[in-house]
Amino acid sequence: MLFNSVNFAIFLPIVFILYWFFTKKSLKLQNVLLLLSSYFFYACWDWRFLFLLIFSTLLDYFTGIKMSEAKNEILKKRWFWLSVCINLGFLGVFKYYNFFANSFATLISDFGFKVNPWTLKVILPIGISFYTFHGLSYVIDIYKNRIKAERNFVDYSVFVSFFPLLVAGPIERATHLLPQIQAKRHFNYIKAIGGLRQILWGLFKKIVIADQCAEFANTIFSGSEHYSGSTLILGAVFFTFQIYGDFSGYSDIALGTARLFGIELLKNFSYPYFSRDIAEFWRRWHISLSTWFRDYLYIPLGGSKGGVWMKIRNTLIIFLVSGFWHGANWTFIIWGFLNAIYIMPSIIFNTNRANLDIVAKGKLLPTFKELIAMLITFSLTIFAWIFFRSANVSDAINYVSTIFSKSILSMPSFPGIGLTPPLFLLLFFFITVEWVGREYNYALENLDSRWGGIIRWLFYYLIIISIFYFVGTGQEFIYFQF
Amino acid sequence: MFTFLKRLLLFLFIPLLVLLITFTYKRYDTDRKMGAFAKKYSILIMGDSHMARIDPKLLHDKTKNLASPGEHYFYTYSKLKTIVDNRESKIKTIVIGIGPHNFSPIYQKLYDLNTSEGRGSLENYLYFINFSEAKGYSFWNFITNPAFFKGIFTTPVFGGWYASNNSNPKLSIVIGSLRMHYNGKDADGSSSQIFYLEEIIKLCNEKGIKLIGLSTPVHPEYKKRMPKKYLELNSSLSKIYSTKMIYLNYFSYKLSNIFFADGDHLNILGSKVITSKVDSILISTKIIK
Repeated sequence: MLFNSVNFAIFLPIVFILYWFFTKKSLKLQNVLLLLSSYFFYACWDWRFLFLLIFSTLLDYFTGIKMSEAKNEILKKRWFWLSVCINLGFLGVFKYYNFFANSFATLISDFGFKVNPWTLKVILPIGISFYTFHGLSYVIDIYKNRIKAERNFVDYSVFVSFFPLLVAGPIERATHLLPQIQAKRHFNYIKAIGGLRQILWGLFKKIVIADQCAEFANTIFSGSEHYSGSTLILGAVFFTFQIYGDFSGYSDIALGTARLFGIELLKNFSYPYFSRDIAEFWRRWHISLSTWFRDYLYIPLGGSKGGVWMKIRNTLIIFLVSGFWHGANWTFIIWGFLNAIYIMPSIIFNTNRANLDIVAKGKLLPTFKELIAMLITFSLTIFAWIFFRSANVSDAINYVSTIFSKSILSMPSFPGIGLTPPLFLLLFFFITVEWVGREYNYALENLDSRWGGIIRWLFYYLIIISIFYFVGTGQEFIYFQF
Repeated sequence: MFTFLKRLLLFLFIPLLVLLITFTYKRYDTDRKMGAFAKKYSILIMGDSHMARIDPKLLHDKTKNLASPGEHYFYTYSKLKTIVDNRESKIKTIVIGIGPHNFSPIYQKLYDLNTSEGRGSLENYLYFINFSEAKGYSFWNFITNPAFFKGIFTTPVFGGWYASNNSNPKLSIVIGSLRMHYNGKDADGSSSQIFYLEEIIKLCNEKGIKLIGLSTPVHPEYKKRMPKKYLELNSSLSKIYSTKMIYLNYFSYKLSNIFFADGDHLNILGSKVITSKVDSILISTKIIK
């Protein structure tokens, strides 16, 4: 069930009504309802993988309890590694097995041996990377004595499977979400209205911005040999907006939906394309994953405490792992590597925390210096996205080679694509709204204080009309494949 | 909570009301226009873009062309039913396009609500649809499809004569037409087209309407490159449909390059040639006196 489908538009009000009217008096019942609706939501894709989700939940639930009950550190460690190995094992089998099998076969063939790798013909269970990381953070936190094991199976299962975050995050922490699941929740009008507004903006980002850009990005990337360098640059720009609209749109819908049920999820995006350097970009892009890697990989590896070489090594590791987390393809690894290279100077010279606040805070426009810094960061990001989007490394290299050819100076042309000015107008409108709202959690958050009721409603209707006008291309969310 | 629901319902009420009023008015308006056609005309030309090249002005003066590009027989059936169910209908003859391309895979997509082609059809023909007669789809499937909402604001495609001044199509254009229709040699055909063509035949029999099937000529290069399966189908179409209607198969009728707008569509010159052939058949069968 997609967030941008009519089925979800029916599913959500039903769960909402049941939640606030029929199970309101009992927290236990509310949580059971959330769990059942989350399993239903997941089973709508493929009910068979529901068993994998339940198994993964049971595994972490029981190993968590066993770790807390362990009489000595050795026993605790055993339970911990059992959970980590099985979790990563599932991820390895479903997501990475074919990649390793094929890469090994290619390597062997370089030495003159012919191997036909035995590959698995299984589809990737949706959301596996997300719920596995949920579970891992939980068992790591117990192992490190940061939290106690959760004994209520329903509460723990809701933490892993809560439908707004189940398939594409944000990657939650037990310390943040579990207390909310266990506390009595009260309906809050302001929060609920805010939730709806965030859902609306998320749908706009996905359907109007991401899906429209996707049509052009897909055409240009799939036939890149037919286009000039300047057109390919535009193709990369379209993809840059597509992936942001798609993923941050999904996150907005997830956060807004959770808020309707009185639950606050972790913020996942904070206007990353207005960043002045790459370090700032990574504090604003897919925040729940970046902080996950920071807390569970970078810091345990020694973080930035052990001198320059250790910082370089650890930064390289987390970016390569982050790239690999996105998928079993060398393109993602190169994308991670490029970002590591981008961020390295600021890590070495300790300037990575130079831009902690949002750009041009309290001002209408950025300074010239800030604008140039933003444009440079944006360009570097676009360049890295080319590798992320390409089907394979050779396609990406060809794409980049064509960009840096003479044809970069020609006027962009779009044979076979009906590129129309409205797309540019939509992008302009989108950037303007995001810029104006950049000091808030999401672009429309502060609309109440800016506009009166009628203008606000007209604005919402305008957004709704544009959503209905552009709906129908039916693009899935990019991050579902991760 | 109640304030929230009250305000939410109020907020949703306005667009829902707009949707309902628009849908009701446009449905009424479509039925009214179709009713007017039913009363005014006695011969209808129906089908897809091939039939849109048949010029009604060269036929009997009570002829109306309602053919439109990429029209699946389900939508042709829906249009026809709206017209002939009218009590004052004077429709006596239907000329419908039946060529091998009508059973190609693209037509299956045009009926499939999960494809962009199918959603496009739903948008264009929403106001003609009798929802209970859609095979494999419930009313729920229609209203939960995003194209339904877009269709509410889309002008219904009634169809009509289309004159093309293009001629001498390049080979690449011919190949483009082939790709669009057949998309791979072994691709499956369209079972839904067969089903609704039979429904059209049944409807015409029930209403005592004479049905004429017409297969228009295609470019020689198009025919040469067609998948074998569809060439064989072309041979069998005459056998299948000549027992059920007057079937005019001009698929292999030899016309030179100048009569075609592209691989499978006649231009204005080709249109005159084939329309005159249809005219003479209508006269010889005493449909036109």
